[in-house]
Amino acid sequence: MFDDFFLISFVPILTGLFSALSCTLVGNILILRKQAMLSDTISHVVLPGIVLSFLIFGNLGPYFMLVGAGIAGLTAVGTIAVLRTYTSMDNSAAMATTLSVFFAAGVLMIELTSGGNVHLDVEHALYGNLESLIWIDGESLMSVFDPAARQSIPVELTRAIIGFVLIASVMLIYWRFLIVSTFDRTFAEISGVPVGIVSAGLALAATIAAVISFDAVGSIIVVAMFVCPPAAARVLTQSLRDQVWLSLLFSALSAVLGYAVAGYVPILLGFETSISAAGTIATLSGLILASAIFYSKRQVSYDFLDGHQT
Amino acid sequence: MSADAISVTELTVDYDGVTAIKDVDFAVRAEKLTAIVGPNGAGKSTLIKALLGLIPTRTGSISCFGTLPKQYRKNISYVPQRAQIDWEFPANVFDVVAMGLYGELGLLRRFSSAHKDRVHSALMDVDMADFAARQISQLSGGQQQRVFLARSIIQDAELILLDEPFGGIDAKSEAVIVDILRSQKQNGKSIVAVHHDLSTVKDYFDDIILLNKTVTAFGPVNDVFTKSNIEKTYGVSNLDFLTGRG
Ligand SMILES: Nc1ncnc2c1ncn2[C@@H]1O[C@H](COP(=O)(O)OP(=O)(O)O)[C@@H](O)[C@H]1O
Ligand SMILES: [Mg+2]
Repeated sequence: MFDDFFLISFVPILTGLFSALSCTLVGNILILRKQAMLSDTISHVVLPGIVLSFLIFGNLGPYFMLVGAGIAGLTAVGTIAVLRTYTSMDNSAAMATTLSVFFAAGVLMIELTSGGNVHLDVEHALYGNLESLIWIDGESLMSVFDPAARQSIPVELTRAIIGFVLIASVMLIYWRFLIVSTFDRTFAEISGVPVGIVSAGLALAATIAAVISFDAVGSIIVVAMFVCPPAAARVLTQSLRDQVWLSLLFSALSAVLGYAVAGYVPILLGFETSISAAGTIATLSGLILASAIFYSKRQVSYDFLDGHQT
Repeated sequence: MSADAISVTELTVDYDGVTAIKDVDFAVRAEKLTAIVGPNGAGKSTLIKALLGLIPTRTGSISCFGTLPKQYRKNISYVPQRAQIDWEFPANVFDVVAMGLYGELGLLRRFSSAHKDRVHSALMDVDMADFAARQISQLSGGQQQRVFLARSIIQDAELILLDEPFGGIDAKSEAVIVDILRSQKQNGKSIVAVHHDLSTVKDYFDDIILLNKTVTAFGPVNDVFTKSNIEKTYGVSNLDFLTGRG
């Protein structure tokens, strides 16, 4: 059953992996800013962006989709800022409002336009279609080095890799500004750090991560990849560097293992069909988080006991 | 040097239409230690933020050594109120003090061993050198405040603004911080600090600004820090706590 690994599983695993890693990288900063909810908001508001770019360009090609989603993401972040500045709403109320209104507008737009094709693609955007990323010419690892075979690698994988490299390098370059403005925004501003640009850049990175992950895990459970691996790492270490590396490890583990479990375990157990890879990946990341919390609490209570014994 | 470090005229700041400080006028002498003193909610933090150009002002003008606060910013160092910070943030003492150099380093300049030495020497100044690798969540309030002071002096700014540097800290930290501020003054820095403890004003500061929404008095402590000015600022009924301290 591993014969057609490169035909069926190779591309989905890598796409899921790079999507998950992108979301997790950004998520590390979001949880430190107490903005985990922003990933939820962004992954919902990109829906009207995608529909609009389809209506305007008549095309759901990956790059049009990215532009539409990016504009929607930044508009939403702007809306949240306006709501917070000019009303008495706090951050989470502003995010919840923006999320539901933008998402509802997206749903309405889909219903008002002809159902057909768009409908299907939007459904993919929400629930993912990892399993459909078949590499027709993928026969073995050698196919990767064969230009002709490379032609048929689904664009989703290319996009996920480009997105990951982009996010990782921009975050690496901006690391100092990102950290100081997250820890102490006022101090950063006085020190000459462009805190507004850093925040907008972070929102843009979250949008890119969310969009490239559409095809992998779907926008709804993409939130799990933003939040669960960094949160799990956060409770296990006090060092930011370790937190980032550990979260990437958890993220990779969820993506690869989640795909394998979904694809192979039910069949090994004698069931006819496999289960959803996206759902399994998200569930696995949740289990890792639960174990991390359990483990760290256990440490604490041991320390506590030790303290009492001595 | 006799030039003013800061001069403020007719400054009014609103939050959502509610006035926080009104028609504030004062001047801060250069190379002096100046206290901003007043009751809770008097607008002390608001005034500091206005001096930093962080919040919009309704009327009035501020000048720092003759220029606008925003233009002067790179010569200002700010030490925020400790309570504003999430001390659970995953960073150690060294990391936080190093942040004081990020503005100067920008994004790409390498953090060299000379920079490392500067961090260590700032930590020595505040007597925290042994704590460089300590997680910031594992510090006492006074130690946290000393780390913030180290992050500030490493910037070598001309003007240092501190919001309640002595709030809720131990006696040792208080002594260390006063020493540092005095030696910064000797080095020609101008320092303005929000201060809440009336009993130490005379010992620590040269000048004072008494604030309660509006400035009730400002000038050298010896001239201005009088019973009648304090009563005007705090209201007579709130003064009981003072008498105990003599
Ligand atoms: N961000 C804000 N939004 C609205 N009102 C504020 C804000 N910050 C402070 N205030 C109000 O302005 C007044 C002055 O506050 P502040 O400057 O913090 O006083 P102090 O530092 O002297 O205790 C208070 O009444 C406070 O409630
Ligand atoms: Mg205050």
